[in-house]
Amino acid sequence: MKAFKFILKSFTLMAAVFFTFQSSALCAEFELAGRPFFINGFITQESALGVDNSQFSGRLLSAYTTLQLEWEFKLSQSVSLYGINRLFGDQAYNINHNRHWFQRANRQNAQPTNARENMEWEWNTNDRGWEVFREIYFDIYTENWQFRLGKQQVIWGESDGLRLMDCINPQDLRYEFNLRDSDEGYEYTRIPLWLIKATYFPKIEPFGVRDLQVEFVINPGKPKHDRLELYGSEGGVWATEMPNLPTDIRVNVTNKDHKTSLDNSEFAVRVMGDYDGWLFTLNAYYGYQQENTSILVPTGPTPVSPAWDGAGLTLNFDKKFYHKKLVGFTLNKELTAIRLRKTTSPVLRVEALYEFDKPFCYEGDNIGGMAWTGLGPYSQARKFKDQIRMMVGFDWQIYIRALNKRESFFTSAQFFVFYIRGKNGEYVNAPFYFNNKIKQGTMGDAQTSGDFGSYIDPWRIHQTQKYFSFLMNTYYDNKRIMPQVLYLCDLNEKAHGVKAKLAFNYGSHWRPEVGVMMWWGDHDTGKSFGLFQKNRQVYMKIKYQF
Amino acid sequence: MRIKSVLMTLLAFTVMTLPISSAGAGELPHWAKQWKDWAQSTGNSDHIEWAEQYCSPESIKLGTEWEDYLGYNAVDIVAKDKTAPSIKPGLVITRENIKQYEKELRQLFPYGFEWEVDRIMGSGPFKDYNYFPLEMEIVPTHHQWNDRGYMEAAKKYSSTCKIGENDALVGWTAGLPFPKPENALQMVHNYDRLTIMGDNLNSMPLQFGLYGKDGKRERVEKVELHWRNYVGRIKVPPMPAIPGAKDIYEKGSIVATYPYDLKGFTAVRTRYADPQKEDSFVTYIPSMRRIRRLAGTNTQDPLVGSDLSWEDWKGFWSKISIHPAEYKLLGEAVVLCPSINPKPIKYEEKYGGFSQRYLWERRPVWIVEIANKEPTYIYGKRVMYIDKETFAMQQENFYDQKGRLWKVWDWCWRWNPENGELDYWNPFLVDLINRHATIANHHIMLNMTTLSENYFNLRYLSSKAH
Repeated sequence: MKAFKFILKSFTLMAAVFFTFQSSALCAEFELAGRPFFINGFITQESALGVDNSQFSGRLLSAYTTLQLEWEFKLSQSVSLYGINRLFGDQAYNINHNRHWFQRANRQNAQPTNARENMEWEWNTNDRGWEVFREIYFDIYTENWQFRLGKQQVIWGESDGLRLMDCINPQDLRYEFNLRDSDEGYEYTRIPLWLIKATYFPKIEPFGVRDLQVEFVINPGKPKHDRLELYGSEGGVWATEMPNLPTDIRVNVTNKDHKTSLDNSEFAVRVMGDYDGWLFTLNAYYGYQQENTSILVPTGPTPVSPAWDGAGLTLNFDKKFYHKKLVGFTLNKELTAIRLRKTTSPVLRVEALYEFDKPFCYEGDNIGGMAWTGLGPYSQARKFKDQIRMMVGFDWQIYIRALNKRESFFTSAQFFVFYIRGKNGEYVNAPFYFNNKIKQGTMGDAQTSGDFGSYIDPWRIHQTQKYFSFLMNTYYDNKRIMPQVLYLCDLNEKAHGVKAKLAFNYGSHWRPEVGVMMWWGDHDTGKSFGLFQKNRQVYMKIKYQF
Repeated sequence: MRIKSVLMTLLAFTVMTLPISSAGAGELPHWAKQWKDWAQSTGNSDHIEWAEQYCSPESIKLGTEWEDYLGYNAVDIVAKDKTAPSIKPGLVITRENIKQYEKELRQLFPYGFEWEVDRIMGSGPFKDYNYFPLEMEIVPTHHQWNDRGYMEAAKKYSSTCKIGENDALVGWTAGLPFPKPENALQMVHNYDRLTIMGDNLNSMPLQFGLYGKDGKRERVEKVELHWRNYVGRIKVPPMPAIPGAKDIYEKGSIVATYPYDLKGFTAVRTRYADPQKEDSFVTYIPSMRRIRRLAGTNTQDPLVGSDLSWEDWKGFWSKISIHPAEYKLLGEAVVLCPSINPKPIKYEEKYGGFSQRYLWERRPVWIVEIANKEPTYIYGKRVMYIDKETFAMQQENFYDQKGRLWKVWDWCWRWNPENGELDYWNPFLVDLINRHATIANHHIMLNMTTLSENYFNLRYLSSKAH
């Protein structure tokens, strides 16, 4: 009730600001206490319907409402305060609350669900209140320095679709996984952090390097991790599906969040410059793992008594976020020696990093060892190995005059390779381990069948992992119509994702958009992108910006 | 004999000091006097006020220097032209009286620029839709000139300029490379090297009004624009080049401020002196919150939602050595051009459209055709009027690869005759095939001493990044 009142007040305040400015859209700047104050923003309503899937086909999968205000208060020539206020919620949790299919999607046997509480409005136990102030920070400029102090996003890297060096802010993947805004740069899904960022501009050109700058980032003790809820417990229809398990086994995963402490500080440094048209960065990061494939640490099985749902044993895990230590670089340059029909050249983008001691769930020497469960003969449930991750991409604006006389087609292809150094044994993305057949029996049945291996089809972590992405868009009618397609492919798992959309930019305010999101996986429970095959959908979005 | 010598000396002294003494004594050169007399005859306070500035001692001094340097002035050239005698100063041409003057008006828009008449009449390419009706207020021809710096630099450096391989300009340091151009290519190089008509420029903001086929404004996009020359500097120290940056011709930066989905987009574009080196184009993309390099070779896409591409920037911003073309001088003529407009353009809802009214005058121009040799290039050819006094482009027609008239462009100039600074006022670009128009509303400042490198580097992009 308290939360509801707060939201109501916040919404009313924002709505008042919105309606104040929407009538004078060109005048979203005025003086506040004699200082310039700029404000603008948008209100958006989105809805998605499930398609091509027996589970959610024709269902209202989501109904996102967003009200966002973005403002800047210039306190002086060298100091300003910047903020983003956001109210975001998925009204599908309200609309579908009493519907059986939706309740099933939000329920997990072992745990009660708080999905509605957390998802109906962006208002959860972790971030209570602070999502309303999504970002707020001071910018301070001096002759050679720029400081940014406060809750913010810091974006590194050159990759789209998969994040490599973009490792400072975690990501909220509870809504549409990484297709929600991967084609738009993760603006809405990155989780802002309280950070100190200082950038130094030395005004020197060593070895002919122009525009040299050095950026220091410190998270003073409040690290966070990605949000992607597991198997129905919190994440509703966008949670990962329950892994296939024997009827007598459950899996219970507990996030081991870091406490706020200076001991948990994270540090990052980046050097940026331009050497003869090569725009480069050198990066280093010391912080914590954020990915949801982070390590499950077995804490021991517990019996279920009474075994009311047939499961007699719960396998308990802590989901642990170990340290992340990496160094890397990015490069980009326009390859002007290559010209397509004497028009445009491709822009090369390269991003590579070396991560030290990355943790992996360990299976054993061979598949079937199940070391990660803590039940097998192995003493180690995890391995720490160095990993190289790199991306090579090309952005190329190509003219196909037969299809578009005025504008080029922007094409962007990226190839990703991840390589684990010194990999020995098998690593898996636990607990996606068994195939569908296991659901028909108990663990004992499987083990005594003499064909235990036929029950196992884990989501393996290969020594070399390969991904590919392709994005293409163009504009028609003086940039008022934009078709775009984004394609993602996990080459190891033969899993695919597509987001295709048509955006309309008529006038200065209204921005409607329609699109489709599809996933294909190679496994009946889903691996990789296949985890979200159940969420194939068409969507509509209408935005009013001011 | 002695008397004869004294008389000869006196005569010579008198002849030498005549222009100065006559101006100093309030006797204006005829090109100034005719304008001032006409302004007073109209009783129009705007014209009278402008004539005062145009005829100030500083203006007369600079105008006389340019006249002496070029060896001609527009007023005299125009006076010899007897075309269309009814179109004379004081006449205001509107839709109501256009029929009376149509034939003569068309004579003043040779080489395919008659669309200016069609704009008023709603005929020709404007027949089926109503782009911007026009009212022309005819004023006397000005003797116009550029900044003194362009002349002084031309005197100093133009002798070393020549056309090199791939039609590139070679040996240029500053100023007009070819003050007495002999062919179309030299005329185009002259305009190219005037860059933004100064050493640097701010437009805060530059507003693009985008208009649909019904003539109604459908969108507004606003950017802040900064531009800076790194070589060829004629006015703001250091001159003629910024130390350590001799490989760079110029840099421009923009930051979008409106609407919301464009806001924050920031870009720095660098044009290199090397004739074969493509531009660098580094951007900050707010939706990605990243600094990204875009293709500097992509100069043919429209900017934001406008009808303007980088190739069209300031009328012509092609890198000559990269896009091979045939440059042809179609002729010389006295034509009707937008005049100096000291006051903002007047817009009003009229004639069923968004009517513009501004001042026009007869100008002596070169008519230059640029026929592109690349079949994949956006345009088949361009035809432009280049002013014989300022060396600046006045109007331009763009044809597609099929030879159809695609885009038309004119603009007025705002001008300070006392220092010769010219800047663009009301650029107006119409896409006749797609029935769309762009009006760029500038708020330009030229030649500031405070516009530093910090507006043109990665720091600038970082500072705009949120």
